[in-house]
Amino acid sequence: MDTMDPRERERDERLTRMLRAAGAEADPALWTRARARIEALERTPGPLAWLMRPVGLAGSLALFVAAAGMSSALLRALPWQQPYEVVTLTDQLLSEGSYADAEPPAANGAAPGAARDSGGMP
Amino acid sequence: MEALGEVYRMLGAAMLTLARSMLRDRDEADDIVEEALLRIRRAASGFRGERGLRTWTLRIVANLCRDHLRRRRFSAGPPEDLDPLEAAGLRVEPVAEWDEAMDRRTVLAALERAIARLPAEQREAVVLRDRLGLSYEEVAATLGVSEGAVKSRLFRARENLKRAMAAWLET
Repeated sequence: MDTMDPRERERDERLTRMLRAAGAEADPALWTRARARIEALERTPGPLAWLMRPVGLAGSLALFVAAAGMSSALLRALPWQQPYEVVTLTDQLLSEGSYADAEPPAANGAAPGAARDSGGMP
Repeated sequence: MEALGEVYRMLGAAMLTLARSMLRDRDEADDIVEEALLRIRRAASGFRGERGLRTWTLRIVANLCRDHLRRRRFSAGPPEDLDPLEAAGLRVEPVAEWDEAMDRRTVLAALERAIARLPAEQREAVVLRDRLGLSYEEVAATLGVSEGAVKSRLFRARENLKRAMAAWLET
């Protein structure tokens, strides 16, 4: 049973009529825009389309940063040996000089360890 | 694509009416409807028809509007002195038994401002039920709430609107 008083019902109906009085029409330009956007998206190859999506892009960046960080940490942790010893020219000359002082090389084809020629007649 | 075009032909007006009434900004509302069409295209394979196409489509639009309004909380929104019908891109339909002495545009502009002041949950209920003519069951399915909740939101919304529009409702 409807208990609403007639005056209140009239106000209610008037409000409903007012609410129904405004609206929008389907805009053909909007459909054209949406269709062009959908077609453009569907023409893009799958992985590229995924990358173009903000979440995809953020995910790829995060993966890249994580991979770069891990590689850098691994490289630092490895026991690296230098492939050659860095020596300055001065160090090299000094070290060669000390060899020369220690023992001169055998001359005139004498066998190493042979007695030195005294210069006297046999 | 043809099927999506048919959806837009059938429901485009309702989608735009909902988005424009909710957001009161024609450009933002149109962007929302465009985004909704993209989502419908992507989700079309998952549509099972339990709730009906209209409800399913309007639910996508309503969710997008809600997200947009949440983000808009931190911006100023449309200025109050703008003509709300013009800003929203809503057109005035001829109303039977409309009091000729009333300036329709002024009254409907006042009504749009009153709708804009409603909390979003009351606004979407009143737009879906009273502007788009959905049943309580359809409004409940669109908003993902019970019919009881819809009736309660609608009652509060209409009470608020009646208070705001008292001067025009008495004439």
